[in-house]
Amino acid sequence: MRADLSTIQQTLTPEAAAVLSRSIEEAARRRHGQTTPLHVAASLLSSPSSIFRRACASASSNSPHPLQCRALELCFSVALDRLPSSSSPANSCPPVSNALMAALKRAQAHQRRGGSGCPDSPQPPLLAVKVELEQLVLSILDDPSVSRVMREASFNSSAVKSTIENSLVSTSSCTSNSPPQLGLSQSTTISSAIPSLVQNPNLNLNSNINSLYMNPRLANAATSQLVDGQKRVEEVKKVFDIMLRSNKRNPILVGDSDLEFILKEALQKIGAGQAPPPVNSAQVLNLDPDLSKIVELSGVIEEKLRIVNAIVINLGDLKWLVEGRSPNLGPAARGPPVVTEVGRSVVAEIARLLVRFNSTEETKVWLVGTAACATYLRCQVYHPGMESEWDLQAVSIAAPQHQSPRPSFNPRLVANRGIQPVLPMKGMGMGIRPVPSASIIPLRQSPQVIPGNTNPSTRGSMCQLCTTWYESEMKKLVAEQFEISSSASVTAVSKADSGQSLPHWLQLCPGRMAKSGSTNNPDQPKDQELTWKNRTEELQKKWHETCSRLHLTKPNTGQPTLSIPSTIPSTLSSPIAQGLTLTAGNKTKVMPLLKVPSNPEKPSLTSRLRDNNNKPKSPPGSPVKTDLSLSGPKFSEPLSDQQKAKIASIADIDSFKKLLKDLKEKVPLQPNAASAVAAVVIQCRAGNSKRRGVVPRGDTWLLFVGADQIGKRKMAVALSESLFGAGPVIVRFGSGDRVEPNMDLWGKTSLDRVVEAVRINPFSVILIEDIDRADTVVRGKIKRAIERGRLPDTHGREVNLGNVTIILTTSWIPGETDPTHETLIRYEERILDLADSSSCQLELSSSSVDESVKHRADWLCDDERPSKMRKESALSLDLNLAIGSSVDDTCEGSRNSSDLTVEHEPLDKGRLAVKSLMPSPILELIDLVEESILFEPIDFAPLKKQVLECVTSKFVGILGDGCSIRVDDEVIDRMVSGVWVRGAEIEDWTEKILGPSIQQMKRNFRSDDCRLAVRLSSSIRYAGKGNGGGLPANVVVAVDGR
Amino acid sequence: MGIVEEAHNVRVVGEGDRTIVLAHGFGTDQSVWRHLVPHLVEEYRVVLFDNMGAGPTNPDYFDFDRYATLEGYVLDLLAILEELRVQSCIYVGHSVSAMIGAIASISRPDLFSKLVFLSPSPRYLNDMDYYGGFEQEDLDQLFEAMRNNYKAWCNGFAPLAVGGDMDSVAVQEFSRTLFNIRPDIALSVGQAIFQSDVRHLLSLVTVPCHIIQSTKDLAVPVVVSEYLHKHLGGDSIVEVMACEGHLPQLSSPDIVTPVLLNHIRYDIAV
Repeated sequence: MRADLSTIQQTLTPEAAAVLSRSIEEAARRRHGQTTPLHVAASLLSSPSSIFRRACASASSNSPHPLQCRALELCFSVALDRLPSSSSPANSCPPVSNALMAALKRAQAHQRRGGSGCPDSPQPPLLAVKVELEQLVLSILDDPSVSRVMREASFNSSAVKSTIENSLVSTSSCTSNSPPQLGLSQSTTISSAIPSLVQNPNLNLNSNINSLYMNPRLANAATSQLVDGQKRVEEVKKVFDIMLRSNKRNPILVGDSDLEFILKEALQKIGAGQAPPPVNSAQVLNLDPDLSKIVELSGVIEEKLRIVNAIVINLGDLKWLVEGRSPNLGPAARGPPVVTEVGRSVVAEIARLLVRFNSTEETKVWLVGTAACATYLRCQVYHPGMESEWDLQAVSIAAPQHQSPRPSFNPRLVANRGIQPVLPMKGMGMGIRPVPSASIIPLRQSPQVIPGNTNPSTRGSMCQLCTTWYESEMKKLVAEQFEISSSASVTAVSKADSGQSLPHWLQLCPGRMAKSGSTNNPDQPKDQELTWKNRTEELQKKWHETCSRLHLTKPNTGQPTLSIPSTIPSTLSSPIAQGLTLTAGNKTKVMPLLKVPSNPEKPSLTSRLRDNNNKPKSPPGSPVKTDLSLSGPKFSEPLSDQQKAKIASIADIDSFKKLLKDLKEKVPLQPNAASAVAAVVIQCRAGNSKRRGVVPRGDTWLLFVGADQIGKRKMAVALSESLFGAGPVIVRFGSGDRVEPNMDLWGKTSLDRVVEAVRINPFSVILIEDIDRADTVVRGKIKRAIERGRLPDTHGREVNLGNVTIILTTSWIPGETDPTHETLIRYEERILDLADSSSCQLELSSSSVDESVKHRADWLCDDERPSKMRKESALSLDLNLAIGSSVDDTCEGSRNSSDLTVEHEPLDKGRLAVKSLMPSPILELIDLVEESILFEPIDFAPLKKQVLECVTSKFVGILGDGCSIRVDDEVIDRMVSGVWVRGAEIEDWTEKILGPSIQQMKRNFRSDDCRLAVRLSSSIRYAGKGNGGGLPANVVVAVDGR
Repeated sequence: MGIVEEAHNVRVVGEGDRTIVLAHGFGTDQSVWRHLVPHLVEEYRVVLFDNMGAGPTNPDYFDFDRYATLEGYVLDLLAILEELRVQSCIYVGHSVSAMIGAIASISRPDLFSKLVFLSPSPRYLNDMDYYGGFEQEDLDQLFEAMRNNYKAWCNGFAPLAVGGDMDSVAVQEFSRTLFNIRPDIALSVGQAIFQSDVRHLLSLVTVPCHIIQSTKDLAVPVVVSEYLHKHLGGDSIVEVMACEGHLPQLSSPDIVTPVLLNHIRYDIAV
């Protein structure tokens, strides 16, 4: 975007424009590729009357010296020499460089503000401003390359600048009243804005520092640990090489760093006699710092030469030749004229000495010294004859490689000034680092070493089976990828492992911006690649882990049950997996299909009724219950997901744990489902949605399958509260209104309510229950919504699903069902039905056994387990027996076996039924949603037992041990339903409702009647109104029988 | 690795023709860019570094004089760019690093093709005709609190700066990096930053500037962005994001990352 020249010229006043064109001509003459601020500065300096030259002269010292400006000119011409010339045939008009462009813009900005006189007055439009020559000079002075050159010639660019500004002020103050201040303030701003070395003597004088920007402490630390021993040896050798020559044999080390160090090393070698032959015998003579003693030097040398035949005079830093030697004189006393006077005499004296002592063959005198580039240049300017008279050879010392590549001492400059560069030094002298990227490459590669152990090394380490599964999943992934962008995937695969070059904390970071990225089309391809990478790596890792855990590391790989493909690895979580290996051996014979540790302690529902073991009241589910084993590979994978979550990131594992804790607390009976839900949700929120499409979205779809409707809803509520601090929106399909009877639909469809909920709050959990009961149209809409992230309402208006988490539930159970589950599920249905049905009253009565049997049969007659029920109904619940007698134990044992036989028949029927019910839409949904999570059927036996115990203990507490109590099954079920579905408190109920009734009954009967048989039954006489608490509101004491 | 690179924990990740330099602000380190970097590595060469004085740097290198003003940091930045031989870069600076970049661009406009400022402020103190958000007394109290009990101060300051409660991950993360700093260094850095005033330099900035800012930011009122926009010498554009806090790239990456990417990818239309 380089403005063309004529446009630029228009922004300048004619004189400034003339300077610019002259600079461009100069650049063209020198065949430079660009016109830089240096060209402008050089042309500004070239005209003898220019403001720049005048300012330089007056700024540099109190008494201007013509030579100084010459030195400056020289430095500029040298600097221009350094610029690379363009290889292309001479460009008549080299374009303006970026730096010059910036300088011109700066000048324009200054002009605009400075020229407007009063700062309050509106600024003139930019185009109307013409940059005057003074402003051009000022902004050129701001340029770092210019000020660097000026510094080399020992000019202070900011001092020059303030001189010009002062002159500006003095001229413009005639026409305006405020500019003086403006000018001043600008001089301060600029000097503080430009990190000029002059302001920072610390930086300027420390010869160890090559980069003008570098922190001196770093440089010090670096020099103290210099390791370039090899290089140093070479430098020292070069010094000796020069000393061995016949002419130009007095080396002066020229450079910007480490000069003293090298010189010292060379002198030490001479002192130790390690130098090459003629030099090794020489003695080192340090030049006395006091210049006035220079006259005595001759005597000293003479004296020394009597002892040895060679002397090396160490001149030290030649700075003293061009500046004042004594630092305590202060800068003011370093007037150039003084220096040159003293210096000239010294130069002459030493030259005389050299001629004198080197005239004979017997004696040799060498000079060695150091000089910064600028110092050496100045020596050449002030003492033009010195180089030849002293027979000097400049040795340019390159900056250490770790320091800045700033050109230090250019070979062309050396050639120009008659200094022969030592050939091997050429490249380094130019300040070009031979390996510019070498320092970067190891940095990039180093992290790759670390993830080596986490990175699954080769596919070969997986067993055949897992490889097959991995490959098939991979293929699916690839196919998916191709659907979306066939081109992107190719590059993605090739780049798949480039993510490893990131530092560790970056690798942990999931690519997660996509949540808001849907509006951001240009971002998508990159996101796609990121997700793709994540997914492929995750997939590979998952299968490797699964494989190593199940197939390689286990001792009993020979177990036939374990080689049943894929269902195991994808469904078991690690503690369960261990349980599996332990129990599988025992179970294989009993269960032909891998039905797994169906808990041997878990008795059937009916037997549990009679279970008098003093088992703890803790809810079931804590022991291993791996009912998940029957699901296909698509089903909830608590293990791999958990591990994925674990590796996803540290932050994520924290939130994962927190969420899991919340969920487990609120839904204690579904620990596996809870961890699966937590893992999936955290994954999705971290953007690692493994779901369809390559663009991760904010919406998450989960499918809860299986039994335990209440558990599913509790899970949804817990999730919603944990994520968003509010309850979920519940939408229910199908029949039954046991959820929200008071929900007014207002003619809206269920989907409308979903859409509305999303619109109101895009951060929420929506629970859509019984999706399998929804009609095909609705299901189709939901399917499309899962795919596209947008949901239409009845009017066709679509809503973006944002960050909504949508949970679909179905009571459909995947695969084949465990017979014990069958009964559990049936019982759950019954519990739910009871909760729906209008409540009835309970009745306390004393009754005979026969009566009760008849009574109970009326709802049991259509039960499909008549034999069992009959058997059970024949038994009365005798409280005396219930306190754990031995009779009961044997009784239970036999019942267990008989139960098995009884249940085998309905099992087959039930399985068929389930299979035929298996709705295909659910299967489709399973493919679409993020994760399907299986809820295990709840074993209500403990709850029943708890209810029963609660009730009986109340009776015993009031009536005493003497009476026998019967509680109808229906009553128990009702109460279980109340407790389970409505969350009622059974203890409260027995205390407040049942207790008073029993008391009343006790009053009705004489206490000495010890044969009292009490029966608690549901009254069919009239149905009361809906009871809020879930448990019967009162218990009527019926006085009958007696 | 060069000494500057090593001292500043310079990391170069990603590949691309263009270079992006990400500079963190006070109390954080380069990890503050964790959410942004993955989106850049495919397209750009991303340079990350720690400012001197930040937790992961060597406290011995912290020269209290050099870093008494922002200039020390500017020099450091230029030294890093020079050592990495960066010819031209897009500079993304957060908080104080925004101004560091601005000053650096005045000195070396050739090195910066564009400056992206996240939560920048040229001056935190109120002044005549200028609202920076802080009174001198506020700052004195702040420094006093830092002196007295650094840890307590960190725990109090982090939620305020981030704009979230103590439990949020962003606050935890900021407290971590904040507490990583040696207390005396933190005080010195804090003083240098809060007492800084670079308003007079803004006019010298010629590089295009993109100013990005949270709606609600304890350290930087929204008017400051407007001020910057008016006074910057070059082109500038302001975007106020619908998020809160002084470290939005940490607390609301979902909002900030796309915005930052947009500003990195697209130039101000002329």
